[in-house]
Amino acid sequence: MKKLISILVLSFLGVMAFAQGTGGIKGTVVNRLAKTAVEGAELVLKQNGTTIATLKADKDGSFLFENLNDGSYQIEVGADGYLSTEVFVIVEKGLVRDLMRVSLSADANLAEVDASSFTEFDMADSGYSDSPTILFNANDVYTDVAGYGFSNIRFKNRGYNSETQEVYLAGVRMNDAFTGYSPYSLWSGLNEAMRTKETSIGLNAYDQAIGRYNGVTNIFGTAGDVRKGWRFSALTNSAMYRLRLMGTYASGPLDNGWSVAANVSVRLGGNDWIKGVYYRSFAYYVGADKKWGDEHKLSFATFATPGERGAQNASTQEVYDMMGDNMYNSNWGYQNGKVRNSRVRKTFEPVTFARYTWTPNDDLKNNAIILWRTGMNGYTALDWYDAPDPRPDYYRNLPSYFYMPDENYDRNSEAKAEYAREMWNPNVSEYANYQHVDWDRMYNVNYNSLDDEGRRRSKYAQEERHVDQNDIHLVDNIAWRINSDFKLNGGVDLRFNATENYKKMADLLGGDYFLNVDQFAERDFGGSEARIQNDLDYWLNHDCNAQKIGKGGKYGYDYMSYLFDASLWANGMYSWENLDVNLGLKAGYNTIWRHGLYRKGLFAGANEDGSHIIDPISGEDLTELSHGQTSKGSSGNKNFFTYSVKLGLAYTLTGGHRFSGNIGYFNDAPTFNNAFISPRTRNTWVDNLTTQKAFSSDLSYQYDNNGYRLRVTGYYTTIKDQTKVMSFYDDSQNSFTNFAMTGINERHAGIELGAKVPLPVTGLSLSAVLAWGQHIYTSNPHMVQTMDNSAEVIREDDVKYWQQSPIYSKVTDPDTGEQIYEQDMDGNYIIKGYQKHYVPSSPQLAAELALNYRTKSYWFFELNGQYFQDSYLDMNPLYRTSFACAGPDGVETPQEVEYMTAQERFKPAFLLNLSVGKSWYLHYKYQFGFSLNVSNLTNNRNVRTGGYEQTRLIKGADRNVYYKFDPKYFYMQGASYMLNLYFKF
Amino acid sequence: MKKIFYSIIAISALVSCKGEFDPVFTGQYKNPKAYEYVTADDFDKITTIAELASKYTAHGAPFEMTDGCVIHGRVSTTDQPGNFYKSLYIQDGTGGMEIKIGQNGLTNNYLEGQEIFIACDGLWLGEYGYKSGDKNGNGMVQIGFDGTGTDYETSYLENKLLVDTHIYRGNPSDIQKVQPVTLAEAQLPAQNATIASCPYLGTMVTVEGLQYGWTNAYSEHETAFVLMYINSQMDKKNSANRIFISGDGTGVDRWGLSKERMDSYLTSGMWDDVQIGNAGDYNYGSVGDKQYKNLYIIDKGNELQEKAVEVLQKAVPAGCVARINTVYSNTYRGDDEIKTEDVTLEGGETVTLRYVETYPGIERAAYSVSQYFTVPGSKKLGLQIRTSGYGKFADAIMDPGIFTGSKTVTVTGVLTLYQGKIQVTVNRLDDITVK
Repeated sequence: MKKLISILVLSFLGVMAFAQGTGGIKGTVVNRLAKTAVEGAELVLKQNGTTIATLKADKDGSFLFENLNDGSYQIEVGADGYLSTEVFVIVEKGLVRDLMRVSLSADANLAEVDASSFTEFDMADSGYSDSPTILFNANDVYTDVAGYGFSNIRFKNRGYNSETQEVYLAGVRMNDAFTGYSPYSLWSGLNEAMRTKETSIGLNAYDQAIGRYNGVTNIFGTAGDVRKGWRFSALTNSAMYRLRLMGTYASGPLDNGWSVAANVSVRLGGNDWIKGVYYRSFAYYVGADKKWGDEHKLSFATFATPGERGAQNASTQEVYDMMGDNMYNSNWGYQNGKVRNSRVRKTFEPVTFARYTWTPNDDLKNNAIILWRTGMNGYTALDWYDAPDPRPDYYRNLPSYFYMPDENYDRNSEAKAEYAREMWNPNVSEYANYQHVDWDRMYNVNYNSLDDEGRRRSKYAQEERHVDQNDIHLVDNIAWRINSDFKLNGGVDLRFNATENYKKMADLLGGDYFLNVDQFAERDFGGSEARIQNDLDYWLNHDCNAQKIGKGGKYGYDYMSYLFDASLWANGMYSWENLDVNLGLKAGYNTIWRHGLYRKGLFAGANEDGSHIIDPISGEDLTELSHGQTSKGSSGNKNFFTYSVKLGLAYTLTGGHRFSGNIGYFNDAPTFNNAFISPRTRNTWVDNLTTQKAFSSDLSYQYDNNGYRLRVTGYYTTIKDQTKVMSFYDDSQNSFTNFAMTGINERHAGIELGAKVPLPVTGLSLSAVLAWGQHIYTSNPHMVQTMDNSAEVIREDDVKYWQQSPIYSKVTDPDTGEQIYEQDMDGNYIIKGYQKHYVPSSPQLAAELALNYRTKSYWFFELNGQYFQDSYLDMNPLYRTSFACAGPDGVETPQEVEYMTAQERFKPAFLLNLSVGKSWYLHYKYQFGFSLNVSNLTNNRNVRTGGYEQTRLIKGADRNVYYKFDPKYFYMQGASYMLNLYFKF
Repeated sequence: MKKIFYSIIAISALVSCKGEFDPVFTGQYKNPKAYEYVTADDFDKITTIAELASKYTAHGAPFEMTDGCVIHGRVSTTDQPGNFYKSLYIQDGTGGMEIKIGQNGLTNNYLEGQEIFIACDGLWLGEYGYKSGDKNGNGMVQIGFDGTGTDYETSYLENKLLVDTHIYRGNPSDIQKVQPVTLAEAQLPAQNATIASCPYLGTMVTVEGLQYGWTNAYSEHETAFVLMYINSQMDKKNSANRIFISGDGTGVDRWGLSKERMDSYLTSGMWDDVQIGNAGDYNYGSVGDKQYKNLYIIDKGNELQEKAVEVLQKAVPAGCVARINTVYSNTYRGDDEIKTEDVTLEGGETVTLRYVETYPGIERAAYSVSQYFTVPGSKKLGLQIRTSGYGKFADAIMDPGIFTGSKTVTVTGVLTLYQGKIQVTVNRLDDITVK
C-alpha cells in the first residue's frame, strides 16, 4: 500500500513538474561495449534529490522526459544485468536535450568465479604452460559461456596466450611485468571487492585503454564501486577447496562524500579429486573514496591475499594407469602419516593504489593513479645434492624403464618391470612411500649425513623459489567528450619494476645446513672447487669455504630483473548517426635488464676494476674461463620501441542489427622471461631479440531484439617473432642445456557464434555457443642450444619440423607386398603433403547448448552440454629438430621423422553441467540465496586438459634412432559440485 | 521456504565438514623417526662372503640364488667422491664382494662403515668382466640381478622395491670404517686367483712403493690407458668409434679426465697422431684429422658456402663415425680462434670458409683413466689405479715426481682383478699418497 501511495505521489509531482515547462531530455540506453539497445532500462529523473519522474526505455532503448523546466537534473539509469549509472543534465532555453546514448556496463554475474583457481599455478614447471581465458559478462552470450563455462577444459579464447589479454585495475595495466601473465591471483578471494568490471573481447574498442587483440578486462576496484550493503557468503566445493567464507561491507556514497568498503575472505581445505592440493588462503580489501562536490574525488584502496596453496603436477599415462587414477598427483607424500605437499605456493603481495579523479565538467574527466605492488611470491620444490631423484614418478621408477616390447629400446628385464609394477600397486599400503614423495627417507638420509664436525649436511631439502616484485605504476588518463559525437580518451602510463629472483631454504628436512654449490657444475668441473660455487665471492672471502645455508637463507641464484616501460595512448571515438568509428594509437618505450647479485663460479667475469679473478687453489684464471660471460652485475639494457594502432567501425541498424569490424597492428616488446638464455646464471641475452608483431582483424554481426540475441564474429590474426626460452637435460650431451627459439610465428583464424532464443514457456530460453578456429604455427623458428655450464653453442639451426610434419608417400613393395616409402629417381623420399602443427592446450572447436529457466519466484535452472575437440599437446622443440629426427646415426628416415615430429591430438570430450539457484527476500531488506553448480555430471575422468612432451631422448640399441619419453598430461576433474550460500542486506 | 533454506544450510555444513582438514595437514610437521634397522639376530643364518663366492664355480655360468642364504658385511666404499658408481663393496672377515645396486647416491642409504645384510634369494651371482675380453673374470664374484640379454653376467638391481626387499641396513650409529690391510707383493692375487686363493680380493687394501709405469706381456712400457669414444650415442663397440690412448708417453698427467679437461687435451695436438679403431683395425684416420673436428662455420652460409661445407663433409672417409658439424654460428665462444680454409668446389670455384675449430667431433666427455704402476718386488707385478672422470678429483694433477721415478705411490682401495690384471680402485684422492 505504501508503495502504491508513493508511486501516486511521485506521479503527481511528476505531472506538476511537467506542467511547468517545455524542455526535455531524450536518448537511448545502450550496452556500453556491445552498443546494443538495453530494452526496459529503468530511468529515474531527480532534481535536487527529489524524484520527479520514472520511466522505462522502449524496446529500442529510447526514452524521453518531457515538459521540463530549465535547470539541472540527475537521471539514475539501471537495468537487470547492468551496473546502474547516473547522468547529470542541464536543460536550457526550454529545449529538449538529446543525450544520444546513455551507456550501461554489464554487471559481472559470476561473482562466485574464482578466476585465480585457473591461473595461480600457471607458473614455471607446474606443467601447464598457460592459463585459460577468463572473461566476464559483457552481456554477450558467447562471452558469458566462453569466459567461464569453458574454463574447466582450460579454453583459451581464439587460442591466444593469456598474456595477450590485458587486465586493468582502477585504470592500471596489471599484467605481470616479466611474464605478461594475467594477475588474477593478486585478488583471488576478493570477489565482491573486484566484482565491478568490464570486459571487451578480441579487438573490440574499449575507451579506457587501447588493449591488444585479446580484449581488455577492467576491474574498477574502488570503494565506491563495491555494491552497497552487507554481504556474507559460505561456499563449499569439491574441485578446488572445501570452504570459503566471505564478508563484505560497502557504505555506498555517504552524505559527507565518503564511500568505504571492506572485503575479507578465507579459503581452506583440499578437494575431492586431487590429493595434496589445498588452500590456506586469506584475503582482505580495504578502500575509501572521498568526493568534494562533483569535481574532485580521491580513492584509496589496499588489498592482498596472503596464504599458501598446494599444487598438483602432471604425470605420464603409465603412472596414471598403474594408480588407476588420472587425478594422481606426484607432489605429495606422507610424513608421519600426514599428507605433505612438496610444491606449495606461498604469497603475500599487497597492492595499494590511490586515484585522484578530477571532473571539472560533464565532458571532461581526468584520473591520476599511483599503484604499488610489493611483497613476496614463493614456490617450494624439492632440492637435492648427490642423492637420487626423490620424485616418485621419476622415469627410473617405472616399469617402462626396465621393459619395453620393442627390443630396440634395449629394455628387456621383465622381472624388474614386474617389481616396478608391484611397487605401484595402489592397493598395497606398504608401498605408499614408493608411490608418493618419501619424506621419511629424505629425513633419514639427512640424519645420517654427518660432516667432519658432526653436523648434518642436508642432501635433501625443500627450496622456495622467489619472485618478489616491486612494481610501481604512475598513470594519468583523460576522458574528454569534445561534443556529442566525438569522444577522446588518452593517457600516459609509466611503469618501473624491480624484481628479485632467488631461492631460499624453506626446510632442511632434519639437516643442519645445505651447501651452496652447483651440483650440475660439479658434474663437469668436479675438480674445481671455485667453479662449482653458486656464490664465488663468498667462497673467495671465506678462505675457500662454500657457504653453509641455514633455514631461510638465500642460495642457488639471486638476481634482479628490471623493467621500465613508458607509453602514451589516445583513443578517439566518433559517432555519426548510426555509425561508430574508433581509432586508437599507442606508442611506448620499453627497457629491460638483468643485474646479477651472485658471482657464479662458472661465469665469474672480472672484478669491477677489470682485473681478473684467480682461483686461489688451482691458480686458474676464472675470468678467462668465463669465456666473456658474466653472472654478477648489469647485463646492460635492451630498449624497444613499441606501438599499436587499432581501427574499428560499427554500424547499427534499427531493429537491433549491428555490423562491426576491427583491424589492428601491435608491436610489443619481448618479456624478460624470454629475453635471457639462462637468467639464473648469467647476463646472456637471447640472440636477435626483437619485438613481437601481431596483425589482427575481425568482423561481427550482432542482433539483439525481443529477447533474441545473436553474435557472429570471424577473426584472423597473425603473430610473428615470438621468442621462447627453455632449459632441459639433453641426453645426447649428457648435460643441462638452454634452448632459445626466436621467430615463432602463429596464425589464428576462426569464427565465434553466440545465440540466445526465448522459448514459448515464460522464463525458458535456449542458448548456443560455438568457437571454431584454426590456430597454427606458421614458421620454423631459429634455435640456439647452449651448454648451461659453459655457454658453449652446441647446436644452431632452424627447428625444421616445428611448423608441420611431412606426410610421406607410400607404395606397395612388389616383392614383399609391404607398404614402403616411395622415392624419386634421385632416391629422395616423396612428400605428398604436410600435417600442420597447432597452437596447443586449448580446444580449437568448442560448443555448448544450454537450456535456461528462470521463474518469477527467483528460481533458476540451467542444464548445458558441452563438446570440445581438436586440442593438442604442447610440443617440445627438440623433437622437431633435424638432430632428433636423424637419430644417433645422423640419417633422417621417413619413419623417424613421422614418429618424432607428430603432434598428439586429444580425444574429443563431452560434458554435461547443471546449475540451480534460488533467492528469498525477507521484509524487502534481507536476501538469502543459494546457487549450486554440478559440473561434469557424467563423471568423465578421461578428459585431457593439457600436458607437455618431455625433453629426454632414448637412443635405440641399433644406434639409428632416438625414442621420445612419454608425455605428461593433466586431466579434468570428475563430477564436482560448488554450493554457495549468501546473505545480504 | 524455511525448510528449504535450513536444509541447504545443513547440507552445506555436512559437506564442508566432510574431511575438511583431513586431506592436507598444514601445520608444523614433526620430524620422522629414524629408520628401524636389522641385526644378525633377525636372520636364521649368516653365510660368509667366502662361502658364497665359492658357490660360483664355473666361468660364464651365473645363477639365481635360491637357497635362502644371507650375507653381511661392512660397506667399504663410498660413491660420494664419484669414483665408485652405482655399486658398493662390502667385506666381512672372509672376503669382499661387490653389490650391484644400480642407484645413485648409494652412500646416503648405505654409509661407509655401516653393516648391511643381503638376503640373496632371487638375486644372481656372477663374475665381473667375464663377457668382455678373452681372459675371463678371474674370481671377482659379484651380486646383482639377472643379466640375461646384457653385456654382463649380472645386471644392476636398480628397482627400489627389489633393492629394499634384499638389502637391509644395520645400525647407522654403529659405523666402523673398514681398515685396509697392507699387502706385500706375495699377497697380491695371481692372474687366476679367486677369493679362495686370495682372500683380499674385493677388500680394502694398501699397497706401498708403487713405481710409475709397467712392462706389459709384449715387453712394452706402458704408463696409462684411456678408452674414448668419438660419439657415445653410437655403438661403443664399433671399431670406428673407439680411440685408445695407451702405451708410453700418453701425456695423461691427471688421475681422471673431466669433460672440461678434454678440451685442452684434444686441442693441444698431442693426440693428433693416435689412430682411431681397435687393434688391427685402424682404418679410420687419426684424431688430428679434420673429420674429427667440429667446424663452427662463422658466416651464415650462402649457397656457395653451403656447397663448400658439403665438400668437407664428403671428404670424411666412409665408415667413420665423425661428421663435420655444420653449425652456422655467430654465437661461438668469443675467445675461440677464427680460422679460414679455402675449399674448391666441383666447378673449380674456391670458397673461403671462416670457422672455429673445436673437438665435439670427438666427443668431449669425462673418461676414466687407468694409471699403470709396478709393485716393488721381484715379480714386477703390474697394478692399475683406476679413477673416474666423473670423480670429484678427476682433474687432480699427479705429482711430477711420479713420472720421473723420484717418487713412489702408496694406494689404498678395493683390490680387484679385471681379466687377470690387478686393479685398485680408490674411494677418494686422499687414498693415494706420494712419497
